[in-house]
Parts: sequence; structure tokens; C-alpha cells
Amino acid sequence: MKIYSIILLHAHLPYINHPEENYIEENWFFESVVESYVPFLMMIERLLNDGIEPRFSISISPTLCYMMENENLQNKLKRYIELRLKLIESEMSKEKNEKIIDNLKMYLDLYNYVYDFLETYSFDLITPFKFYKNQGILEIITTPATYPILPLFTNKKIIDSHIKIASLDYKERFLHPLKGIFLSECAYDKSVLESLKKNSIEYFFVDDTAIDKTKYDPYFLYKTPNDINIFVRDSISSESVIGESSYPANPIYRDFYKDIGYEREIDYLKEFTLFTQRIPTGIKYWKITDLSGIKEKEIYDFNLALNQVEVDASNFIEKIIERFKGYEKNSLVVSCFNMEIFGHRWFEGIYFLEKLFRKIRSERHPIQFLTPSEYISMNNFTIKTIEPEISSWSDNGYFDKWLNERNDFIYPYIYEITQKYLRIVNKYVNTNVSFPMDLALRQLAREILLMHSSDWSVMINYDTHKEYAISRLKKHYLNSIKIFEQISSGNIDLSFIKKLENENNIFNSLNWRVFSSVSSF
Amino acid sequence: MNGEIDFITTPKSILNENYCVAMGVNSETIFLFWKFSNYIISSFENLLLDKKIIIKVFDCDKNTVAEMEVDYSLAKIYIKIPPINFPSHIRIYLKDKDGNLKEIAVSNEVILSYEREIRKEYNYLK
Repeated sequence: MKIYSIILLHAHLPYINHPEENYIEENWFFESVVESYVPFLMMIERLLNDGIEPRFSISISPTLCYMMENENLQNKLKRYIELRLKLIESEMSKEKNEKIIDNLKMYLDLYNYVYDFLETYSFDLITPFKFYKNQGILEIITTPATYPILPLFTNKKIIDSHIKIASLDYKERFLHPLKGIFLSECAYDKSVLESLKKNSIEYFFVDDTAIDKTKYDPYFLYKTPNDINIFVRDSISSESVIGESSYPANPIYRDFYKDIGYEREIDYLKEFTLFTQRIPTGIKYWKITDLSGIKEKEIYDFNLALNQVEVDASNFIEKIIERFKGYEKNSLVVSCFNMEIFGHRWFEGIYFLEKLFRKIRSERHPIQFLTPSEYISMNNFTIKTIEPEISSWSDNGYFDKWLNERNDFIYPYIYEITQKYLRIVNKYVNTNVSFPMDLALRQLAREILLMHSSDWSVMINYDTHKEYAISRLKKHYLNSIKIFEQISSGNIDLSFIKKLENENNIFNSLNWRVFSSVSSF
Repeated sequence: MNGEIDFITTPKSILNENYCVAMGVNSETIFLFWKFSNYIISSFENLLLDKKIIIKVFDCDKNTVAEMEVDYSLAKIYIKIPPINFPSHIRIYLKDKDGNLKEIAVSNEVILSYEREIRKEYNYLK
């Protein structure tokens, strides 16, 4: 018996780029780069150096790709790391506790390694991802353009545009046709199928709540009635890594929340964070210690935590083997995770992934990691056709998180501005528009696509950075209204359009005509 | 609709049209929002039309599965219906002074899934 396993790491952040100001929300990108993306790439390097070829599937949303390529954000990232290094040095100069000094040395190494790594690639992270993709180590896929919950869009043209724009963008960036897609938050209903087919997508992922498990085994590959491969997410393996009794909740692991950003004097911190508000710095000295929060936190011990990683990786492998003991057929386990969990949320998570590959090699377990395309190309099995149900990978498996009484007020605005745009596009699709008009229609598309991001509704729902989410929606809405006015008056203010292009500069070669529903001639 | 906006749902539309949009929230809930043209809104305000509108949910065979009467200015509503596994759509009707119904907006089709076992949230860490 052999168990095939696909690990899909899903990397996404909302597009946040403010060239003229500093926003706390930009730090999400810097934290993810330092703690997750670069350590992940360095982990691949270590495995390859030891002759172990890992396999990962990674979905990187187009918005995140643009952030990785953005020069303004690259400069800010550089400054972020430099300031953190200064903060670490400052902490070291004052600290007497040997255990805390050990932690500081660990952070010093981490930030220095990350800085050197990024410098090798001129701070452009897409390049190393491309490099490992071309080596066959990573299978990189994408998500719908700005990460919308597609089943919440009632107009098929919008669904189609998000997939088409993402697909063209992928091809332009990675120089290969797109094979697979990770639908935002695994949100699925059958309205997406036609667009997936039209854009030659070979496979996508659904949550296991999308299939009736009394009829279908979730550990197989399926296909849709229009012949697109469906990978079913295994919720059991996901629970080991995400959840209250999961591995990252072990008291030995580093505590995510207790950060010196909430403990030191604000006057001292602002020199390093550039903000007068309290924000996490990434410098954390404590282990979880006690989930209930009653016991006083103990000082984190990285080496002890690494021993625990070893135990958890063995347990993960054993549990998979145990589950498939009675299976005669070769089964497939598809584990999908948010990539930022590894390293950022679960500090030791990258080492956990590394241990999986090392253990499977050294202990000869019957688990074969592979990419979705490798699995499909084995082609030695019959693929059953199924019709998945409406589903997502969140909450109760539906869409309540993105649509409820706390955030529903955004949808009429999004709907109206989108409808207005579709009509304008239909009006101009078969005309020779002037250069300024072309720029205006293109920027209008970007503003509207950014309104479609599911991130804003989640931030409003959880009341985390809610004001920022609302301000972004308002900004894109008002920018759109202003462009509409300029288009109808025929007076395009190029300096205004250029200013917006500089800030909301996604989808460089976006063709606004993809939104048209009338035939072009 | 330019300048200051409050981002609070209002019955006014930049499209100046009568429409309603239905969105599936979960296995038994549809979110419906609607807007009316300025002409219709002034008819409500001038009491030429009853401010109460009738909302009807239909199954694919055009049978009514739910019906309610609400103030037009509410502009949105969550409608609970029994778990169904077929497409449905919603129609909105206005009532004139004599109580006659007139259809004013038809929604898109919405499909709800069968009710599934509620599971805990896996990605609470996000």
C-alpha cells in the first residue's frame, strides 16, 4: 500500500500598498515574508542540500504576487528588517537573563538570514518561488484575481473575469499556462465551472463538506461533469495543525500573542516600529505555557520546541498510516493550509514540514508526497464524476463569515458599482478608445476588482482593522465614481489616474474588455 | 451619490433602477437586498404606493416557498427557508392604493445546498 499526499499551502494577503504613508496593515506582508515565506524557501534549500526533494503545491494569490514584486514594498520590507535588527540589538544591550538572550540570538540569526536571502534576489521574492517551480519542487497555482468569494457574485461575467484575469496574470508572471486554481477560501458553487473550463483550468480544490461522504470516499480524485479534476481537502489532517488541540497549541511552542510590542514603553518602541500605537514587533520571548492563560508565561526554549517538532511530525505520519491501514487501493490525502500558519502563527511550523520530509525519507514510510499534476499524470485509475455541493473551508462550510448582519452593508455598493462598470465596458468595447480613456477604463477595473476582495468583509466581521477595511472600500468606491464622471464628461484627468495607478497598481496589462458581455468585432 | 457616503444601505440607487439581488448565505438562509428608482421612491413618499412591499420566494417549479411583507426602506432582509437543494428566486411586488399587486423586481437564481453537519471552524487561526 502506498499513500499519496499533497500538501497545498495557500498564500494570500489583501493588496495593501501606500507609497506615500506608513500603514500598520502593511506589516502583515513584512511579518509573513520574514517568518513564513523566506523560512519556507530556506527550508527547501536545506532539504535539497541533503538530497531530499520535497513536493509542495502553493497557491499564491495575484494580490500577494504584486506585493512581492512591488518596489515600494520591497524598500519598506528592507527598512522593516533593518529596524527589527536594531531593536534586537537594543534589547540585547539591556538584557541580563541568559534564556532571553538565547532568544534574542535566535531572532538575530533569523532576521540576518532573511535579509541576506532577500538581498540575493534583490528583495523580489517571486524569483526564488519561480526557481523552485521550474525545478518541479513547487507547483504554483493561483486564486481568483483579488480573492473574492465567487459564489457571492451573481453575475457570471464577474466570476469569469476574476478567473480569466488571474489566469492571464499567472501566465505572464510564471511563463506557463495555469493548471490549477485555489478558489478563494475553497468557496465553491457550480456557477464557477463554466469559467474554469473556459480558462483551461485542469483542477481545483473543494472542502470535504462539498461531497457526500456516505456516497463518495474523500480520499480519491474526482472530476466535474465538465471534466475538471477535483481534489478534496482532508479535514482530519488539517485539524492536527489548526485547532484548539492541534500541534501548535502545545505549551512548549512559542506564544504568538505575547510580544514586546505590548510590553515596552511606547516611546522606546516607536523608534523601531515607526508607529505610536502598540503593534506586534515579532520579538516574543515566551512559550504558550498554559492555554487557559492562568499560569505565568515561561521563557521560550527553541531547542526544546524543536524536540517537540520531532514528536509531532512522527505523530502526524503515524496517524496518516494508521488511518489507511485497511485500504487496499492507493489513497490520496490532500492537506490544505494557510501558508502563514507555518512560521508566522506557528513559529516552529516550517521545521515541522521539514521534519515530515526527512522522516519519510529516513524511516521509509509508505507516504509519497507529490504535486497535483504529478498525481493526475499517473493516470492509472478511473476518475468518477461528481457534483460537489456549495461549500467553503471556513466556519460551518458556507459563506456566513463573509455575509452577515455585521458586513452585509458593503454588498449593495459593490453590486451597483460593478453593474455600472459592466455597462460602461459594453458601451466602449467595440470603439477605438483614446489612450487616456483606455487608462481610465483599466484603472476603473482595478478599483472595482479591489472592492471585490473577500478580506474586507472578514475584517469587518471580526472587527479587526475594521476601520481600515471600510476606508479601503470607500476609497475604491469614490475613486470609481470619480473615474465614471470623467469618462462620461470625456475629460480624463491623467494625473489623477496616474496617482491611482501608482497606489493600486495590480494587473499591469489588464485588458478591461474581458468584462464585456457583448461580442467584440 | 458622489462626495460623502456613509456606507449605510439606503434605498437610493446610483443605477436609478428597480432591482433585487439574492445571495445564498448557508443551507437555509438567503440574503436579499433591493433598490428602487427615484420615481418609485417618490411614489412611496407621496403615498401613491403602499410603503409595504411583498417578497415572495419561489422554487424552480414556481411554487411559493416563503412570503413576507416589509417596509420598502428596509432595503435588505435575511430569509430563512427550509433546506432545499434546488434553485430558487425571489420576486418583489408593490401594492397600489387599491391593494393590487404589481411585480417590480425579480432576483437572480440562488441555489442552497443540503443541510450538513455543522462542524467547528478549522481556520480559526487566520
